[in-house]
Amino acid sequence: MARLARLERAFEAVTALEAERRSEYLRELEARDPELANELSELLDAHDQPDERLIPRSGRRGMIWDEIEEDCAVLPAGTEVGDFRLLAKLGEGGMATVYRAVRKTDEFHQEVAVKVLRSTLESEAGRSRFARERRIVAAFDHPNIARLIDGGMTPGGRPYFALELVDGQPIDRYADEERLTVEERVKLVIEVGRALHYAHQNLVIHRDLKPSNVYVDRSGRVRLLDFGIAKELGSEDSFTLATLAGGGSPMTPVYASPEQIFGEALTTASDQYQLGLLLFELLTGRRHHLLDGDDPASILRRIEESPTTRPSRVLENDAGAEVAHSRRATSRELVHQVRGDLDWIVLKALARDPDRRYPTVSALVEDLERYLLNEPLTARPPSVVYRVRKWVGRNRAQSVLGVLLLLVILGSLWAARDQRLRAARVSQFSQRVERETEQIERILRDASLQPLHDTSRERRIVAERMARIEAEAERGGPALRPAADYGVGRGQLALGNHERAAALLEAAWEGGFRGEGIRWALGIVYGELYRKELAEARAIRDAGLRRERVEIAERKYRDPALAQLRSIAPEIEERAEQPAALIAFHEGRLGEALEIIDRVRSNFPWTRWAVAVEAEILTERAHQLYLTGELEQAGLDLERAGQALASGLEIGRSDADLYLKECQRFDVLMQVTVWPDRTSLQPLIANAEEVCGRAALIRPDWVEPVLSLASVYLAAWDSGRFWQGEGRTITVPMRAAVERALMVGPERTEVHHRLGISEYFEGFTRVLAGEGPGEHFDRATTAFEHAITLDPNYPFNYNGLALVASTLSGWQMRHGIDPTQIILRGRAQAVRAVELVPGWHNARTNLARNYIREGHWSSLAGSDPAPAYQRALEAVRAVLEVNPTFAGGLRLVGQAVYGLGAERVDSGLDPSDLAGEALENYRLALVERPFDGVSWIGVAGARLLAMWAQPEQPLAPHDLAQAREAVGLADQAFEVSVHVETIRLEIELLELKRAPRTEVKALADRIERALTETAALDLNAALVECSLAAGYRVVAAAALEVGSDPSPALRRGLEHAELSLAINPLMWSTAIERVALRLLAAAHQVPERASLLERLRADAREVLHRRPQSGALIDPLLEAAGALEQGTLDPSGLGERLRRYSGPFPFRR
Amino acid sequence: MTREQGLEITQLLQAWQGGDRAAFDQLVPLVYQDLRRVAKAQLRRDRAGWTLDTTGLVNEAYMRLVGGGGVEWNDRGHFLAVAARAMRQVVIEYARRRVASKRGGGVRPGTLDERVIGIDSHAEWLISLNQALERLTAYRERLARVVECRFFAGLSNSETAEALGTSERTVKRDWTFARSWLQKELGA
Repeated sequence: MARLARLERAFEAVTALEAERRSEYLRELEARDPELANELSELLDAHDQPDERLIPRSGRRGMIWDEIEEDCAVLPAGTEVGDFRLLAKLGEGGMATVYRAVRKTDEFHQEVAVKVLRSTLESEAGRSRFARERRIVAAFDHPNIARLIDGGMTPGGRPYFALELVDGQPIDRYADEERLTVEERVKLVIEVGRALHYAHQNLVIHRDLKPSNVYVDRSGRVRLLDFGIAKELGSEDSFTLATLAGGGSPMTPVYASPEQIFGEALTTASDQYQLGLLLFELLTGRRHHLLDGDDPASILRRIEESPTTRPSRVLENDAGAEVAHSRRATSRELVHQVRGDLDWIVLKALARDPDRRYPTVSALVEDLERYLLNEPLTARPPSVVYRVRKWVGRNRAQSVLGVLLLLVILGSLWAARDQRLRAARVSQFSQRVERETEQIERILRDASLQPLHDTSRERRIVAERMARIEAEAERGGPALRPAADYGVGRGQLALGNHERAAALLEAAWEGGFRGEGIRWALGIVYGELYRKELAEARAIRDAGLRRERVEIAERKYRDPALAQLRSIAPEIEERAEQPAALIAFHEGRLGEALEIIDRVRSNFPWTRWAVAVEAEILTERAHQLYLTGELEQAGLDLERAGQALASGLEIGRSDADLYLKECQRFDVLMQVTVWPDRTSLQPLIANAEEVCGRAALIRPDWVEPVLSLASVYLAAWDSGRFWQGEGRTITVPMRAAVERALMVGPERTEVHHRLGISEYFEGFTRVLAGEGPGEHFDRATTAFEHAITLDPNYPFNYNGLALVASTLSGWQMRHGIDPTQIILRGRAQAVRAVELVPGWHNARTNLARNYIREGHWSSLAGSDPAPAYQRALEAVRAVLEVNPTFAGGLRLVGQAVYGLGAERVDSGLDPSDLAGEALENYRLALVERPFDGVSWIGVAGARLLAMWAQPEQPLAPHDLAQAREAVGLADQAFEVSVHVETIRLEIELLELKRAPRTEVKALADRIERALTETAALDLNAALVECSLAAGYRVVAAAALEVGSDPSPALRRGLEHAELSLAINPLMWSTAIERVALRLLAAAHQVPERASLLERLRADAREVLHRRPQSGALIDPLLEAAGALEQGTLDPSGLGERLRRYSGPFPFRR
Repeated sequence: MTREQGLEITQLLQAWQGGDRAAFDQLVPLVYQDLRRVAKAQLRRDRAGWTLDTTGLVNEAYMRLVGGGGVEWNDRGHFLAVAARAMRQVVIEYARRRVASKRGGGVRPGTLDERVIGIDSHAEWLISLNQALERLTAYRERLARVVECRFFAGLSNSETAEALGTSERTVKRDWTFARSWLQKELGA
């Protein structure tokens, strides 16, 4: 390689020299290194005479292949092709070369034209078009169309066919050289028109009519040539959607019809237009489309901006003598000949809107014939003067009566014309709408590709464009309505307003608007709505209700979506897969849909619809897996969905829809994952906030992402990880999200529902923290009620009201307020929710919860709670029949049974079986939701109840350990819980109650410390204060028993009892503990014994009055009091008895 | 290849920019695949006949990559260099196939629908060019790169300079030498 380096250096040196000094340099080099000098000289030759192939051409840089192709495609003269020998190249078509040739065996040297396909690399389209041309020409038999002679394959393997050779010249050149008059030229056009009409009758559109394709032979006969891009009517090769992807049909731009330029479906009207162009050019000697280049955009502009110029005007402006001369006229004569009828014919033939042209080529031909015969034209506006002039021209002797008759006829002609005009206007408008819609879609697509930004501006521009369509339709009357609805509907679809889009598109469809575009749009929009419904159905945990909702969605949206998608078969690869994928998705073949998407994404990695649909499918499948309990698999799908979205967002950095899908994915992820603690949830919430924030940034006026974020908070709350202490880390941002949603609008029941929920959460948090609910529950109620007025069928609102009632009534009864009214109100709402959606588990569990509240209240108020608990069990069992493992339901069964058990033990009956049943249900609930603190409290409570039931038996250490373990687990779920603290205390207390005398002192000391600690928590709850009173009662009793001073414990016990009753005067269990405390005081303080016993008996009477079944609890105390009074029981004995006294079960809400 | 081809390319581009030369070789096949598909689509579309607008292809591939903006101008240059190499592969692949079909024959006469590929003397020329380029690469890689950019991708001098991260003057000098040398080699 050192050699090359030297060569390069030498080359650089020598090219830097002036030409004359180069040879000198070379000579010097030759002396030192002849070989190098030789190479250098070759190099210089190459430099001076560069190979054209290696030089990128300016202007068309990089088009290396077209050069390469052109050369090689030409077959040399003498090449034998089938029966023919090529003589010379005649011309070049879009994909074929035409040669002059002779039949090898033909003595008369009959010449033919042989058309050979130029090699086309791999172009299937080119080859099939070539075959089609041959097929078309073979079917023709018309004097003005060259006939097919033969066809086959060249030795090189290229297809060819032989045609009659037209010995002549292009029509324009012929007309000028022969100096044809205007009339003669018109006659030629008539002949072309007849050939064209013949083709049309054979269901072929030429599509490429232009002077160079129309020859006139030596005998003066017109020959229509080159059906190379002709199309058989009804065959599928042009398709409006193709233009969306930049396809389009082949054409010669300067002779293209507007619909060709716009890539619209072509009809015979396009050929008619091109015949008009030919007429224009033959009359004026000038092309109609004056263009700088063959850039379709410039043609488009021209057609849009300038109306067709009348040929006579063109001639007035620039008809030189030469143009007139070649038409055997003076300039003035020429203008005069063309002005009027020919102007009108050309204007009509060149109408932008196909419907305003001649209906057929033969109609144009007929008008040209009328012109030659001086008859009135169909193209001419029916001015009376014109008609009469024409008529008089032909029938100078007609009577006045005739004139009158003519006027009548003219009247009806006018009406017919009016109708025609209207139809034309509609069609023209439709086309404009179609184009406008495409632009709208492009603007929005581009906007979503830009870096993260607020797209309001782009959306505003789009809205303005849609408003323009609307305004035009408004002015134009009802006939334009369907097209406008279609255009605006598609715009709304692109904007992501699916409901509005659906309504408009349906209206357009109803109005008779048809086409691939609307089918496509309807298919997409119904699919979107269907999937939206699915996403909402996903939030419903109850299987029956969910199925119901899904079935409605299938009928309403999925089936019509499938019907529309199936009716179209787009030709564009990238798009063709979309309906296939959507159809599979909608039919529930998720795996198949994913396969299609995978294929699309590997071929078109940046196709965003595929990304979006993939994410949706995976999220949907994850949900299905979640329902069947395959949580791990569901998690994997959600992860994959996340990856798909991430790759989509790499490109669509301002695609709000993708961000929303990501946010929704987080929502599902929250639901399917079991969260051990709060910290594991926090990053997820932060991500959801980030993603929804981006969506909101892109579309600040869009409520969906904000609503979705609110749902994420709701799911986070539902996990139960935030109820204690940290509740506000959820309620505050959730509240902010809801307020934002309210600001963005529009008024939607979902928004007000979330508002109600956020108020409820706030109130709930306050209640848990021992504060009053404040106004939050009132505000929540107002919000839910407003939401109901917005949509009375949105069941979640009733449920919300029931929730509020449940929590509020609980708070009321804990504070001694009669909650009956609230309970009944809540029940009514829960019942409405159940009526609305009978299968909905949440509604039924809320109803059950409501009955349980009633049970608690009955228990507190001293009436029999059993009937309420039984009804609760009925309600919740209806849910468990459908879904036997539903944790929330199992837990409620546990609560109801536990309530029954507590009532039974306080009535002196054995609750063991109920304790066992409650325990079993809580444990089943925990199988489903292992971290549910409420269930763990239930387990501890049920174990406590079981031990409580056997006061005569010593405590089994094993039972105690299990109860303590349950309390420990419950404690982990909550920051501080009244119930946890109560039960923890009561378990310790039970140990002291059952202890042998030898252990009493040590245990009492321990209990006292525990009591101090619990009191220090200052929970301000009647239940805890009651347990504290009970605790000091046992400690005081123990002191009395062992002979130490019970006074401090007695004092504290009474303080806590008073506190408990101050919080909740209805707490009769506290009243009973107070009786016990007073009894101990009476034993200790001999001087006040009588008065204390008196008060004690009065209290006992009151308790019995309020709760007659309290005898089992009160009687032992009264009996001991009697024994003390009579001296049959000493203080120590009383102490032991009251230490062992179980007391009321710690269960009063 | 279901996931994030675009991301992969971006990352590789960055790695390459950061001096990781292996990244270039990993990039080429990724871009090649895309170019080839676009080329086929362009041929199938058959609007302007059968010609391949290589500059257009390269630009189209680039637009597809960046999705319409945001990527540093710097990245575009680097991408062009990769695309030029990929373009060379596309072109050579076609040329090889044409030569192979010419040798293999096997075209049944008389059927119009038969897949046929014409004789093309340039295909052989292109293959020789490719081989000469290999020799040039062995000498000084940049020369071959310049040829890829100028000839195969149809980039201008300034675009080539941008793609290769060098000056326009250097590109001009390299191109003059490389072109003359290749011509000499191919003429021999």
